[in-house]
Amino acid sequence: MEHRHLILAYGFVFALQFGYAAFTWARLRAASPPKDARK
Amino acid sequence: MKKLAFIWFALTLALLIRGFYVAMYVAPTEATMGNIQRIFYYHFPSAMVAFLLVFVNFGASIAVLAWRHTQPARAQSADALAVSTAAVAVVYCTVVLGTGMLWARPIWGIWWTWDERLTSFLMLWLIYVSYLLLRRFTAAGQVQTLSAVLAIFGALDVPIVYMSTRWWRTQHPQPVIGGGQGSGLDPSMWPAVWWNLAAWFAWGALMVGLRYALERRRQANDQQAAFEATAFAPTNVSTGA
Repeated sequence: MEHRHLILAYGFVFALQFGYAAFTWARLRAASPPKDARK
Repeated sequence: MKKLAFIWFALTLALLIRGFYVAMYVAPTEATMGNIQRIFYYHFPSAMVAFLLVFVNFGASIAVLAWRHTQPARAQSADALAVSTAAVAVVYCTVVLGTGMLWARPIWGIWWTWDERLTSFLMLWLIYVSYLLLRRFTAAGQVQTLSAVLAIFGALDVPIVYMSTRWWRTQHPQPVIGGGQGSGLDPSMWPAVWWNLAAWFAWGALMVGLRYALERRRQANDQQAAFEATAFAPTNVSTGA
């Protein structure tokens, strides 16, 4: 149980942080104009 | 700018790997709790970053209120910083609550208790979740002012969270830093704390930068849409009267 909770905690931290980063990155890409429109 | 962001990302990843290694393999096993105590090396730095983000959000919110009439362009930048720090603070607060519960279950035998530290921290999380919901669902116009006022009240909870283990007798342990005689960590555990503090501070800065870029992009898109709506609106439409 001890190790299960430790693994769960570390997994939770990385999943949440990296998941949020990927989600925000995708939103930024979606909000940005396409490359050809910037020229 | 992109090159700088990439260097910062690479540096942060290196710090995260080093922090993980030191926390898992270098720091000694705690005598009474065993390996489960290693959750502390992520739990504590995340709480520190969350507090810092709330304070930056507090400053940015005051700037929004101060500049909203006199310097609207600056107020827009401050608002973007405020919403960025609030969003990332919610992520860090969620990490603190999640890791805290996963630590509490094997050590206390319960997932949660309504002691002052846990309850005040849950309040902090709820305030910033409501801040984000307010921004998501309120019509444009007063949303920046309303959220800035809410953020100021949210920041007032941080000193209560921090002092709760000193003011009240709590299930949560006494503070690690400045907790007085008998509290604190063994010196051999501090490297794991410092590495992970550095890593999660760096990651927090990166996330705020990313979220800030998104918010500025959104502001620019909204301004462009508003400009196009006024520029192409018909001004001499005959009513037929």
